[in-house]
Amino acid sequence: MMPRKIKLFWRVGAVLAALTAVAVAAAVLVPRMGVSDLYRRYEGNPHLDVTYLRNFPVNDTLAVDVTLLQARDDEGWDTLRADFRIPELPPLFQQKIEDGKDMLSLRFVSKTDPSHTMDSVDMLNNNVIAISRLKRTICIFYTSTIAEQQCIYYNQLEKNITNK
Amino acid sequence: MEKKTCERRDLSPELRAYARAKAMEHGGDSEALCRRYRRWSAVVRCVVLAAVLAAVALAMESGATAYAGQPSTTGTLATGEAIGFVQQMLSNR
Repeated sequence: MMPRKIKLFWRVGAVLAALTAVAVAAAVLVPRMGVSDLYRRYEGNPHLDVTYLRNFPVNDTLAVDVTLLQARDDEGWDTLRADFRIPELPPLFQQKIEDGKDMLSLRFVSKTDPSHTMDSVDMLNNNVIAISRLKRTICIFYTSTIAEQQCIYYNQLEKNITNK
Repeated sequence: MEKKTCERRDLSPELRAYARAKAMEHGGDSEALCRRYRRWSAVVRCVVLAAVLAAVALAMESGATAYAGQPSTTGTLATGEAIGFVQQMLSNR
């Protein structure tokens, strides 16, 4: 028969191993649970790079979560354009993009379906998305206050105007 | 002269006694049993220690970033890259 101390040693070892397994599983699974629906929808798509960024600092006091969808190839960009209803550009603007000039579009989209346009009655039902045609990237900013929306949207407009 | 494994201090007295009792019971070599127990207890100690350290490090890292509101990412880009990319995009560069 095994001595009691040896039994205790194995029991403690088993409990420690079980606790460790739980901690490791939690550390791996918890960040996965805290991602957006869009991240889950496009994760694993071979034509897209998908990143979920938590607490992106929009200024010194505000931070929002962001889903970044980057097309790896034409097929990926076509998917994003179709899903987010990004229209074709007139040839003149398209030529600018091909020459390496970016044209960033910002818009409000419905929180429930980002392919739909904004809810004009309650702004808090909207998120902000930024579309870069040159980088073939879409950023979805998850906003929960008007201040966050203004910070992303209007500051950006202001920056563009001042740059010119 | 090399010390016998059963006499080494890094083998717990319980395992040492258990090896001797088992060897006497079955008429085997207690030294071989001691060597085997010593090897296994070292392996178990290392595995448990490494797993506990890894779990603590992981928990601290994810907990710290979550509670401090620090940026973190899941997916293709690393946190610094993603922040830089979004900032660059917003500044139209």
